[in-house]
Amino acid sequence: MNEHFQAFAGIMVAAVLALDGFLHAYWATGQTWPARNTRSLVQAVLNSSNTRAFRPAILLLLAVLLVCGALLVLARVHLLSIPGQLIPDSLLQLGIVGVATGLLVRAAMGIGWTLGLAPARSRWFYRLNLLVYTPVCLILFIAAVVVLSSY
Amino acid sequence: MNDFWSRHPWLRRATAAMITFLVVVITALLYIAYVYIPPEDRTETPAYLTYLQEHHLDGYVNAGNFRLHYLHEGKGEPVVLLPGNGAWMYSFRTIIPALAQHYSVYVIDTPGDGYTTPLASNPDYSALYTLSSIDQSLLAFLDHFHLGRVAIGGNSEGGGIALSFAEHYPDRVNKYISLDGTGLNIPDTWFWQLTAFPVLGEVYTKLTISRSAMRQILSAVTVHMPVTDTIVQDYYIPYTFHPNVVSWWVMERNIHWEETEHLLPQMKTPILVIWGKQDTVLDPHLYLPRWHYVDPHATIMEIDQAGHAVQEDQPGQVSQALLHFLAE
Repeated sequence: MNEHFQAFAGIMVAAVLALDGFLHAYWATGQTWPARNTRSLVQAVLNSSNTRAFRPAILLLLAVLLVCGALLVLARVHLLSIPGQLIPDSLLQLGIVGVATGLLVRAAMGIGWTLGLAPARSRWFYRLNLLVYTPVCLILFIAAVVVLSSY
Repeated sequence: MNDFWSRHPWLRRATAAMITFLVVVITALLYIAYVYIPPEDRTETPAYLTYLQEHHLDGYVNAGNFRLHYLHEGKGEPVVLLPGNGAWMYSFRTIIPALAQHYSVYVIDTPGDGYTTPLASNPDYSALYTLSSIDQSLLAFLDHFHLGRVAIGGNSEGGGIALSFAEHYPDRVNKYISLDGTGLNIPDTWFWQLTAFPVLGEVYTKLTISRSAMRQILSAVTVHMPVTDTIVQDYYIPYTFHPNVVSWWVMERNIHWEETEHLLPQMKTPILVIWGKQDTVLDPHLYLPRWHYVDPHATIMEIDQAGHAVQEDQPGQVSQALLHFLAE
C-alpha cells in the first residue's frame, strides 16, 4: 500500500483522537461547550442522563487515553521521530489494534442506536450519532486498519 | 423502528448478537493479523544445514539490503540457483552434486526465505521485498565473488526473480533457467491471491505456519518424492522465521509479473524452461504455451511424474537437462 496514503490515514486518525482528547480535557475543567450544561452535554455525547459519567477524573483518564492513542498512531506511521522508535513494534501494533477495536465498538453501538436496537434518549444524540459519531468511527476504523498494515 | 423491534424481540436480540459477533470476529482477525507472531523454531537446526556447515559449503554475504545465505560447491563456469518461496537451498540438494561436478554452483536463499535475512534490524519489509531490491542484492552478490557472467535460474518464485535479474542485467547473465518458475503475467492460484488482501493475507499466512501445513504444501508441490518427517522438518524450520513469514504477503502484494513478461521478448539470453507435468501451482497448460509465445526460441521441457518442485520429484532428469543446456 502507498506509504503516503498510510501516513495520511495515520494523521487523520491521530488528529481526530487528539482533538477528542483535548475536548475531554477541556470538559474536565468544568466547561460544557458546545452544550448549555453538563446534563445536555452528557445526553448529546453518551446518550445518558447520568452526569456522574462526566466526572473530571473520568474525563481526564479518557483524554490521556485518546492522546496516547494518537501518539501511538503517529509512531506507527513513523511521524514521531526518535520517541516513536523507542516504542516496541509489538506494543505499537497492540495499541493500534486497541484503538481500532474501540472505534469499531463505538461504530457498532452507533449502528445499534441508529437501527433502534437500543433507545436514543434525545433527538440531538440520535442525529449526532447518525450523522457524525458512527460514520466518523467507521472511517477512522478503516484508517486505523490501513495504519496497522504499514509493515 | 422502535415499534418494529418491540414486535419482534427475538429479531432484535439476534441482530444485536450478530453485530457483537462481527465486532468480536473482526477484533480477533486484527489481533492475529497485526499483533500475533507465530513462534519461530530456532531450537533445532535442519540436518542439511548441519551437513553444509560441517563441510564448509555455506556462508553469508552482506549484499544490498540483505545478508544472503549461500551455498557454493564445485568448480567451473558459475551457475546461480534460487529456491522458490517457502523453500530454501535445501530444495536443490538432489541436483547440486551432479551440477557441481562440472560447474561452480551457487545456491542463494532468496530474500524472504531460508537463512537470508534483512540487514536492517527493524526493516520496512514493503520496501525490501521488491524485485528491484532483490535484483540489486543479487548484483552485489555477483560483484562480491567477482562473478562476471553467470547462468541463473530458479524454481517457482526463485525462477521469476532470476528472470527479472536476467532482464535487468543482461551483461551479467549468459543463460536463464526456469524450473516451474513464475515471471509470466498469469494470475496465481486462489490461495496465493488470498495473501494479497490486507488482514486476510496476514491471518491466512500466520495460521498456516505449522508442520502439518508444511507437509500439505510439500504434498501439493510434489507427486513423486516421498514426503518424510525429515524432509518436512528441514523445510519447516526456516519457514517459521519471522522475516520469511512476512515475505509471503509482502511479496504477493509487491511483485507483479507484467514487467518481466513485457521485457521477455527483448531478452537475448538462451532460455531453458523445465516444467513438472503435474504442477498444480503453476499450470503447465497455461505457462508452457505462453513461454512458447513470448520466446519461440526457448527450450521447453515437460517432465512427467513431477509437480511444482520439479527438481525434487525428478532430480535425475532435471540434472541431465541442466547439464545438457549449460554445455551448449
